[in-house]
Amino acid sequence: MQARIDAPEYWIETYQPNDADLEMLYEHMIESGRPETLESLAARVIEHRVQREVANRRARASARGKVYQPADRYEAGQMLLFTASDGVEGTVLGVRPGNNPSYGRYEVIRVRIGDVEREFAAGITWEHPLSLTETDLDPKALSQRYAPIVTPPLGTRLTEERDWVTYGDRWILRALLPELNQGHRNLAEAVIMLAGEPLPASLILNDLDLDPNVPTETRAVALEMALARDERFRNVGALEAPLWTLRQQL
Amino acid sequence: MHLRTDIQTPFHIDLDWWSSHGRSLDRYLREILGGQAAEDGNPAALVDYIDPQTAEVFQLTAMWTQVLTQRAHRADFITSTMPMTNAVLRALIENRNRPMSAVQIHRRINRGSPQALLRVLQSAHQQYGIAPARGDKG
Repeated sequence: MQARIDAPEYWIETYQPNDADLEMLYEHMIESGRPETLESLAARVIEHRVQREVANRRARASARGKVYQPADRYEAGQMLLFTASDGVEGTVLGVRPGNNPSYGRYEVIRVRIGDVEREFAAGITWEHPLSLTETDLDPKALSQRYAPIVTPPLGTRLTEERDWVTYGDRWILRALLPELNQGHRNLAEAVIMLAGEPLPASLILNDLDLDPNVPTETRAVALEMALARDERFRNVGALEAPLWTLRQQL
Repeated sequence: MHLRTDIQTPFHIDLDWWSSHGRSLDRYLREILGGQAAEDGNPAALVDYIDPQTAEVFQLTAMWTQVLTQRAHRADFITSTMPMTNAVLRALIENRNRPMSAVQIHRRINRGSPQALLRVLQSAHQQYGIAPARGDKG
């Protein structure tokens, strides 16, 4: 049985970043324009997935009465709405006992949906995701609890995506980074030389003519990536909090 | 294989191939389960499998149902280190053998490219009986 979305097993054993997660992060990043830590992105993925689940549950609850719930029992002739199966409607044709003891005691209803007959579980005694209500889930709390678990697989997936780049512990879309040329790097060299001590990118930025409409954190990541690629510069700080100096000053 | 295929062509496990070659898919499923495979009952008998999302009921062998409820959808069910043909077979097992294209399988196993997977699919017939699902759009 697949684990519930609020259970640790769901995130530890079954979670894999999918295209919908990446699309959501892409849209979020385009909107914010700022780099974020991987754990922050992981929290967004969890929050979004849980919010979507809450929305599905609300839709099921608002359908009232005739919505199909696997924990309920049904009789032939009843009309039901199957919200998790593209919202199709069907009529119960018959009921038979379940034949798989690993699910416990349950029934199976035969339903006519359009021109085809399909079967659905009924009267199950274990907690199926369709039986839960939206009040059972707290997207914020779940995202905080499970973000450390989701961070590693999300990092692996983002590393494989050409659209994403990282420096230190921050991730951003490549397309959002301003371009730094040789002139910018020469100016950075002069700024560090005059300072006579290692500087964070945020201080070096003050003397570079990068687009001020681009958020400072984004310009800083772009500068750090450019300096890291240039032989003249060395990061003598932590990867998460870089301090830039010149190789000749070491 | 003479059928013209591309990355959108749906493939499935040809179960007739397994029986005609004297091979048992249940044995493969039993290996996935390791020591936890249930031994009782007729292995060919079909039992209910309840979809974890929709609660729709499907008829599968007991072994297949056990793989779906206990192993499939876990992060270690399909890994980046297992042979590609193995990963493809497991993706189809997880999908209850509903046909999948190279693009869909690539999305699930997240390895190689759809084009590379198509080559694997075209050559996987001899090993696992994976073949184009004719007339099925998947």
